[in-house]
Amino acid sequence: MSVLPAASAAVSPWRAALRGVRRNKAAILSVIALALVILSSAGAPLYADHVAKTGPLTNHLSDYIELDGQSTPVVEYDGVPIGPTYTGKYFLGADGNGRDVMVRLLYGGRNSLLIGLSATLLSLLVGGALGILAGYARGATDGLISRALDVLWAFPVILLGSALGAATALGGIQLGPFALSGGSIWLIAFVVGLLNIVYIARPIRGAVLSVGEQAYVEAARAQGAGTFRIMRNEIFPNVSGTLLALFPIILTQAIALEAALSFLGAGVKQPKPSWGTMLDDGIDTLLAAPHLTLVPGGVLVVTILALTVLSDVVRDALDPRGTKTAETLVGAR
Amino acid sequence: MTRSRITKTLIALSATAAFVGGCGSDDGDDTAGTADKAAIQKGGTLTGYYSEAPDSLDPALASLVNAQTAIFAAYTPLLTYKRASGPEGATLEPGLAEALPTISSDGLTYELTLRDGLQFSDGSPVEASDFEYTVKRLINLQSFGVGYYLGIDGAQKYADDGKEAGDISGIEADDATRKITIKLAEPDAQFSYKLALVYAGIVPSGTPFKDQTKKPPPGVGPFTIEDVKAGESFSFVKSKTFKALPSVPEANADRIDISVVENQRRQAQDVLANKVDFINDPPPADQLRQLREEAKGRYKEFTTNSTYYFVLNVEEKPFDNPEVRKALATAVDEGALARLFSGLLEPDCNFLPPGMTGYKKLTCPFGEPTAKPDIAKAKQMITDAGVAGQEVTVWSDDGDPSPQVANYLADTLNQIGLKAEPKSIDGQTFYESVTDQSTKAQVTVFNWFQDYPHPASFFANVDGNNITKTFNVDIGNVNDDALNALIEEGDKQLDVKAAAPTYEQADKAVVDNAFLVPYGHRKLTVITSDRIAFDNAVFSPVYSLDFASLGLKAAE
Repeated sequence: MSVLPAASAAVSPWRAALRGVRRNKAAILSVIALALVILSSAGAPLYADHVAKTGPLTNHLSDYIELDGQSTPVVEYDGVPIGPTYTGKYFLGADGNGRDVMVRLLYGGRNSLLIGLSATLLSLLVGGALGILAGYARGATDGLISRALDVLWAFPVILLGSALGAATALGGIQLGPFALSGGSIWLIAFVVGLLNIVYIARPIRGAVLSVGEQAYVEAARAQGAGTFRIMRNEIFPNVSGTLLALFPIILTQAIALEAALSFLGAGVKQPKPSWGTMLDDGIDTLLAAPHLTLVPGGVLVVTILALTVLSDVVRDALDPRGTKTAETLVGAR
Repeated sequence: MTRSRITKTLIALSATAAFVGGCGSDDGDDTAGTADKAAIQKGGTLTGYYSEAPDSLDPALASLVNAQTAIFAAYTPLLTYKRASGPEGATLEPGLAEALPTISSDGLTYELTLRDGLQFSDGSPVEASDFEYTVKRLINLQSFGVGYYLGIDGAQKYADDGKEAGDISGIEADDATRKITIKLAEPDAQFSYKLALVYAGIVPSGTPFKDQTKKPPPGVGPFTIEDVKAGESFSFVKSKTFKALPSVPEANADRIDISVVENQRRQAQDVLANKVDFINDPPPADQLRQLREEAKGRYKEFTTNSTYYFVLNVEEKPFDNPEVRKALATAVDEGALARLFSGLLEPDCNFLPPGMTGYKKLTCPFGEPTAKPDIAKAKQMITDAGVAGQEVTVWSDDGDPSPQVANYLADTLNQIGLKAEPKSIDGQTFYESVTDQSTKAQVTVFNWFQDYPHPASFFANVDGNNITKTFNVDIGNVNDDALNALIEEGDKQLDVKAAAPTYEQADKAVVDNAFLVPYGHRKLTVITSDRIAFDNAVFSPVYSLDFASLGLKAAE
């Protein structure tokens, strides 16, 4: 097995990426921010049960809380919810249904991150396999896969995502023995993952076309290695760096796309929280209750920013000569 | 009403309900204060905003409330509704007819006489035969309102024959004597109310059997509708031929220019800044507080003849059990729900709205709307009924605030021991879905705006005789013999006031048995600029803002 010269000849892609992160202060800050987001989201039930003492779906429309010694309605009669209290209950305020925004933010983070991560893994798995197959097999197989990807590529991603999300919202999807019910977050992950396959498959195919010309592939073929074995032992290790570089980029896209689809009503379904649905919750009361949009919007921005910084650092580490930008890696759509 | 009529009516209403465009009584909150009526200055040009284009400006095809509000100002039927705010505005009055109809003792024959000397806005005389032509036009154009008139003897046959030049045997019109005789196939005690709907606004014979929205046909009314730019704007121009009728005054303004401005935030800002003279649709929730404070004296909230309620399907578990329905009614917090409407909901447990004949404030059997609900009691009722943990889907459309209401209800049902999930679906398919029996919708977040100001318009929704497989008006499949008998008894009375006690009983029966769970009546808003004589403006409980009543304040 040999390794592409684009990555370091002595260091594995993983180590190179890690070294790149360690050497960059912005990347360290990004890792800390991401860790905070991930850990706090993972701890959502603890916060809900022991601090806020309410769940993400529990309405408190006509409840009152003690604030500065005064009994204050969680939601005013004219529908305006309470803003941040910076105390255990309603730390970041309430939404229009009287639900605790902090609790929903943490649970929403779980959903948004889970969907983003699952969708990205799906994209890497399917997109990577398609890219390797198309690039190695060439000919009719390549033509078929490439044209199918062209069709997917031809649609604006938000438009296609909205259409798929809306079409599957009620009935879900049945793929042989696998069924995803409408409203399930796994369905959204599937749709987002599907949309991002093209961003993986294309650059991987390109990388495989290059790797396939290498002498060690020819040598393996001459030694009688089968197609699958060559792809597994010779091709995959040499494109894994590209896959690794693509991972944070696609994760960023997946989280942003989920938020966009949920905001448009084609993603996570109410009353389940996600950062996108929380943005949608707040848009009608932007002036009277700005915290409803600022809070999820802010967390979304921080997460996306941190992932973008990490993407750049990882890409730089794996491509020290700077020949590939994020756009050349995944293409612009 | 026959089933086909109800179906067509409901299709129209389901669309209009989404717009929440209008029908209000003036007996709700009035934040405008109690100023004396200002002197009004005749003439001038006013401007107004619609947030959505009317579906049509042809009287036969205008089905959305914002469209019918426009038609109300330009087309007068034989009968009409009094130009007055509040419940008084639901009073039937002669329009183009000299008097209310003479009805035969069997309830089958209606006789009217057209007023003398009437002219359409193009100067041509109004003939008695124009009424039959107007009904034929409704049929040929397949108007949403056609169902109201298919009860006329021969109307269905005319529709089935498909011959434009054919005759409707049940309508006899004598142009010389101006007499119009209408024979019905079956008695219909609400037929006079249907004659007063804007669908029956009379147009000249010969008006094409095509949508005339681009150039609305001549009519008889305070205004003509002109300069229509589809989807963008249209204008009311004071009619040169219209002379005030006893029930329909002349327009105060010379012209009103209406623009379609979808951005309701901009609408609210423009009217506050006096850049436009009125807006007709509720502003965004986050601007209500500002409007309530800054537009005093020119801002009004009024309760409409509508009811917002939860439909419980009595054919589906667990709501086939009356105790489960009552548990839900016990757990519902009307005051909480009003907050989801930004306070634009009058909490109430009656099915009939306050502006409707037959309304009598009930002592709410499952707790007053102002009191906190007894969740513990409701939970016990669910446990006693043995349905704890049963799965329930709460259906709603996706227009605000329906999903939020569905979320609230699902959470409440979970609190009392059921396992509920909300399901909000696209407004375009919502009505078709929940009225289809195969959907088996257990609970539906629903609302009803009157077709016309008569209790029958509401009780059709709980009348067991209306149950069908698709487009089922009685979504909850309520089929109670005692209730059906009360509805039948009320519906057959020609005098709605005489039927009021019967409808009161029916209202009580619906609420006591929790056949459905009403939680309030929608309030709407009207805001004008400073230069409008706000206290002179009429808010009809049937057709919302009466444009003819709008006028400039007289110079002091």
